[in-house]
This record gives sequence, structure tokens and C-alpha cells, in this order.
Amino acid sequence: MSKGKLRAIKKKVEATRNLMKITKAMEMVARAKVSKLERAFKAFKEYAEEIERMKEKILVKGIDSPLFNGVGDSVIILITSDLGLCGAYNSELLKTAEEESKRIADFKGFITIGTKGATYFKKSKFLIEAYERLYDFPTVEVSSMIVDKVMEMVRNEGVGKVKVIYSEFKNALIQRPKVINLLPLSSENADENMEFEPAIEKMIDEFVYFYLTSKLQRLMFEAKVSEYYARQNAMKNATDNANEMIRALTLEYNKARQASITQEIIEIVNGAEALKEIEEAG
Amino acid sequence: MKIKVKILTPGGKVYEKDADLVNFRTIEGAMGILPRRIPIITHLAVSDIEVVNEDRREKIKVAGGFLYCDGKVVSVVSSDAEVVN
Repeated sequence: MSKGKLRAIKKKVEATRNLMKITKAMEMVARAKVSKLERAFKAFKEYAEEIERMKEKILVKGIDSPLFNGVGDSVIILITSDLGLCGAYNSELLKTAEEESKRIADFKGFITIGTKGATYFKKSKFLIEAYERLYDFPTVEVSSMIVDKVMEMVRNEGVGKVKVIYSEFKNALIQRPKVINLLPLSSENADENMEFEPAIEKMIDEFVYFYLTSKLQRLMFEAKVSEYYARQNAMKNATDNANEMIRALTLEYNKARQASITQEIIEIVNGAEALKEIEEAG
Repeated sequence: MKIKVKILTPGGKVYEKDADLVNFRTIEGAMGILPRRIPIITHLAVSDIEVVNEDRREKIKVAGGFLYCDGKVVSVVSSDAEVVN
């Protein structure tokens, strides 16, 4: 066994060890961030769910607006991440987005949030607007900016249906892409006896805006929580794999080292034997 | 019979207590809610919500938002709110 091979294995172990340091750091960062984010998400969820309950009660029958009747083209808002190194998180979302866009008949285009979605659809003619590196922590400013864009499209560009694709957070191990309808708003559970102050016609635009921003912010929150968990899991796997690889390579290195030592001893012994034979003969 | 009042903001729950009467201002004018009121949804003005009990009154500032009452619970959602001492 040559010294060259030994050195090559040693280099590989070093490289893997360095890589492991990075994946371990990424895992720890994701873990630290997710706990803070989850606390904020929990508080926000209560607020968003109350608004959702109010929306269910609002009677939207008989109001003639694309916000309720769903007449017009379809737009998909796709929430992806800004950073990679989070396993299949983005590729699953992009796949779902592709499939969904093909399924819809009057599909107009994507509004993407996050760098990964923007890069993927950059060359396709379906990219309407791309928002990149907007937030680490979803804020109402960001969600209202996007809702502004959606409302403008509803008013001026004949859009009537809006779907959101994001990563649903099931638990720490499972995050799945989910498609939900943002617009049109439905009125299935509306309460006929509900009173409004001021009258519903006066209030509805404000309420819908309020509802959409909170809903979108909630989805961005959930997507972010999913992203951090996905990254944490992906990086944990990577660290484990690196550990396993280091173990296997170290074993190989030791075997090779042992073989080369044995080889050297054999050579020395053989050399000595040969010398002895020459001396005896002489 | 009392009515429960809760005030929620994006940062979490700001206030939750029982009350005899809740006073507030909608964008069209002042209103009060007593227990067992018919369900109502109102658009709030940037103003104070006054929670009245026999022995004390509390004020909570809200930055607009919406109020929903189902007869038992008054829930307020607002982008920001703060209890005034």
C-alpha cells in the first residue's frame, strides 16, 4: 500500500470533517431560530384564527364583486424559501406548483415569494411578480404589500381566483406542500342574522383586506416554520452521514496503514534473510 | 351574567376578562355591548375600548381593527393594542 493512498484518505477525512462542521452549525442555527419563530407563530395563530372565524360569519352572498364570485383568471402565490440546504423542501413545492398550474384552465401566472421560486420560474412566461429576500420574520408590511398587488390585479387585470401554495407544518418531521384557495371568498357558513356596524357594504372592502393580509401572513409564518424544521432535519441527516463516512474512511485508513507497515516489515525481513544467505554462501 | 372580552393582536393576546358592559367606538360612532347581545361585527375606530365592571373600569387602546360579538364573547382583533392603566 502506497503512502499516496494514505494521504488521499486522510485528506478525504479532513474534508468530510470540515463539511460536518458546516452542517452541524446550520442545524444549530435552524434549531435556535425555529423556537423563537414558533413562539411568535403561536401568538399570531390565535389572532389569525379569530379573524378566520369572523370571516366565516360575514355574509358575502349577493355582493357582486370578483372577490366573491370568482369570475376571472387564476393566479398562484407560491411561497418558497430564500436559502437552500433544506432537503426536498423547495423541490416539492416547485413540483406541486407545476402540477397545479397545469391543472387550472384559466391560469394566468405565479406570484413567487422567496428566491427559489423566482429562480425556477424566471424563464417561464408565467412569472408575474417575484419577491425575494423580503423577510426572516413575516411582517404585516410584507403581507400587505403582496395583498396590494393581488387586489390591484383583481381590480384591473381580470383576476378572480387566487391560490396559495405553501409548506404545511404537520410536525417536526413532516412538512408537506399544500394548496389552498385564498380567493374567491365563500359564504357557506355565513350567519344570516348577523348585524354590521357600519353596513356590510361599507365595511366589506376593509375587512377583506384585513382578512387577506392576516391570512397571508399566517401562511408565510407556517411556511417559515416548516422551512426551518426541514433544514434542521436535512442538516441532521447530513451530519449523521458525514459521521458515518468519517468512521468508514478512518477504518480504511487504519487498514491501509497496517498493510503498509506489514509490507515494510516483510521487505526488511526478506532483505535481512537475503543478506544472511549471501554471507553464508560467501 | 357577564360577557367575556378578549383582545388579540399579531403579537398575541393582550387582554382577556369578564365584563358587565363594553364601550367602544366604531368608525361611525360610539356603541356599547351588554351580555346576550345579538351577534354583530363592527369596524373599530382608532380609540379606547372601555371594559366596565361594577367595581372598576379598564381602558384598552386599539389601533382600529374589528370587533365580533356572539352574545357570550366579545373578541377584538387589531393590529396593535395596549392596556391603559
